[in-house]
Amino acid sequence: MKVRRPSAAIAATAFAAGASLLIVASSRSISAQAESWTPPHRMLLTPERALAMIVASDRHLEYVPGEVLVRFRPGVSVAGQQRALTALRSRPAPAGLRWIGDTALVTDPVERDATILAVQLNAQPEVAEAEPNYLYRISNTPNDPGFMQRQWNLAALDMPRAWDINPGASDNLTVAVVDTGITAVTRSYSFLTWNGRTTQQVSVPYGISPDFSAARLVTPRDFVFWDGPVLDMHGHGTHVASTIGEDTNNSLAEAGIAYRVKLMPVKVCVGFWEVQFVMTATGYRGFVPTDSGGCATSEIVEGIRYAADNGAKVINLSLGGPEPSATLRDALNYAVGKGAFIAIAMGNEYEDGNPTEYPAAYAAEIDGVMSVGAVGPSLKRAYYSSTGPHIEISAPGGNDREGGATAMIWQATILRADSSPVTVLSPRFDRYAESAFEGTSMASPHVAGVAALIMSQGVTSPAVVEALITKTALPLGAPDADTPGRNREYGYGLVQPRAALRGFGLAK
Amino acid sequence: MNTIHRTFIRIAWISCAIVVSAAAARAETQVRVTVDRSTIWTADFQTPAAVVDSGTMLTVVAERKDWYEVLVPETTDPARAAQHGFIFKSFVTKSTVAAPRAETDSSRFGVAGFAQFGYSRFAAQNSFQAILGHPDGGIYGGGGEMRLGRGLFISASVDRFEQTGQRAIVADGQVFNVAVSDTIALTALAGTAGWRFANEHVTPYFGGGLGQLHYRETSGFADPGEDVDSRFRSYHVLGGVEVRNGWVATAFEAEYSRVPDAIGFGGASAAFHESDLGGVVGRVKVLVGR
Repeated sequence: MKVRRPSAAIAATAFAAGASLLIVASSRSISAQAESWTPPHRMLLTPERALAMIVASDRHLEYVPGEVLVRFRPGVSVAGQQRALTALRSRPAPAGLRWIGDTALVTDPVERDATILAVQLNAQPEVAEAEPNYLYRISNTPNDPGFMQRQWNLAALDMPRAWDINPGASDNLTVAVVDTGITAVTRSYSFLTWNGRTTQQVSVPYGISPDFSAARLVTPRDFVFWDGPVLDMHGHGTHVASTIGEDTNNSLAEAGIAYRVKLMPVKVCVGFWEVQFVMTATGYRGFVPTDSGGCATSEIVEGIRYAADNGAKVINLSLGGPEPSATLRDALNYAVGKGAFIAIAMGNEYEDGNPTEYPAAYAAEIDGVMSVGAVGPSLKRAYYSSTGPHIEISAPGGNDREGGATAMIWQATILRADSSPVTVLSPRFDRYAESAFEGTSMASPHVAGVAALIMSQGVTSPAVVEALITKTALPLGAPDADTPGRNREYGYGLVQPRAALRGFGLAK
Repeated sequence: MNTIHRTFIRIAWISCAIVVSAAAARAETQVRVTVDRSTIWTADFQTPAAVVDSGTMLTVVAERKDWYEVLVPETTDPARAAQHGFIFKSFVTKSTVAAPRAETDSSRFGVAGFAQFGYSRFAAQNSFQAILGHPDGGIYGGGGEMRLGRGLFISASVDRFEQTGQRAIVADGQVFNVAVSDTIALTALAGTAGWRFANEHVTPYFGGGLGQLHYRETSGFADPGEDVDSRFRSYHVLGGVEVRNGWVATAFEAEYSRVPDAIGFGGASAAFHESDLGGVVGRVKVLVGR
């Protein structure tokens, strides 16, 4: 699955030329279709970006073609920035840059190989750091929804007794889910889509999950699709959010860990339907690849900073990729500095070469950020869960090899059958069902939920939350010789919510 | 058992031994009778307690103007032996010969019960600070004391400390409480042997001994096995002064104790590398008895 960036100049040039042709073709179609569909909100997912994501998916690229993140050296003037940008063939103007904190997103419509863009910019004296706008992906393996409600995961963590100490965390605490979104509105929107024969306008209904009180969804923000309400068109973000804080004790669906917290939907990832809608609106006739989409570094960084700036005390990142990003690392440090604890999925690539996944790999060097691996019902590492010296903690993530769907993580999310790219032409996202997912994406929100409970006990420092979680973990596996108290498969072991909430006495 | 621990035990035992040997060797004030057929009068000065000849040695208990209060010699009348009597100062001269001293009120055989209260500053001050918010606290208790003569005494006492705080996490030396209650209860049983410097009203004393500390730590939402209920050997030395007024006395006392290797295997005490449940106690005792 891991694909290294092409380094050969010839290959890069050929790719760039191909991508440019696709974009030029699409641009013509955009104006042709503009009269037939007017988006109700300003689109953030531009046709160029949607196409770039398709190209990235098709070519297994780990970055958004033609996009690079640049941080100039302190004190560099606009003129200096302009001079540095002249190194690019398209010579973009500083005024046209999109700024994310002190980092600028540069889009080059001419050179699509972002690794070349980064090399060119890094050679300029005004540039402190430039890197491709890496594309991360959500870290789960979804499965068909089932009817059996088996939250073995919460039993494994002894959650009922943890809730005796802190029932569902404080309703003053906000947990941000930086993901595919959590639908925060109940209404329909019209989109153009391809039905296999022609383009048609369809009314797509969206609805808030019946297992989230509407009042619990606060300050939602979409950084990637449009500037309208947050809509989850994948189900991943909702599933993750449900693990963190699905309404509990309401005789409906499943339970969540921190079921009283406020949830902040921060949409930074898009999937098939967002890309399909945008591409159809450009005049593209056909289906985009079913695995289209992803989460660009630029939006992840914006989402993390937004969450931290708007009061989120816990942030969940169930996404990752094999490319390191200094911009992403800086965003993690920024959020921790603002008092936010961050849980990150370790990655699901163990059987695909087990590459080091980012941003999980940064967790080990930042107190207050934890990388989370997955275990199945047997509390053994799930077959997919990536390993490495940077893993810090383990939590239930499901393992279908231990018992099929019953061994996965069940939470309420949008009904998969209503929006499966393979079988559905006109999707709907207003019906919810208990669904089985597995992945470190599912493990991470367990830790995020526990962190919310701990913070509701009065612990405000992200580093202390991490210390509580690691010091009270149930050790799994033998410690590695070079990492006392932990190992490369499970980190410090299985998160123990009850023990973490109880803290320590004088003698024990 | 570490070196400091062993040294402390030695000091405790050595101080007891010193108390015993010092009491045996202690000199007392005596006078020599210089006039034959001198009369020792009883307290009413109307009845002779004894008649002694020149050269008789008498043990002085106290002085009253022109009179010495002395112990009536056994040889004159066994029935009056160990009673007090008065002899005119002009009939005696002070002896320069060291001799066993007669017992005063405060040093001769007697028993007393006492109540005590005070303040303890724990050796594991960071650990107590983490859970209770302060490294010290009030204690109360009581006991009994027996004076064995020659300044020796033994006592048995019990002290009690109990306070409730919050469980915590210690990270990088900083303490963060987690809003789960944690109650620490200490019950200290102590046996002490010591020696009292005989004086009429103000009696300094010191001693040392062994004991047992019952440590109990209970917390909110705990399973039975998660609370702590343990007993440990303790060692202590103490010193103080006793102010007596008849049957009632008040003592002001300082004690240093050690309870090594009692904690430090988990919790806040492990984070701070503190293992001793002893500390320094300042206390006031109210004794009733002779």
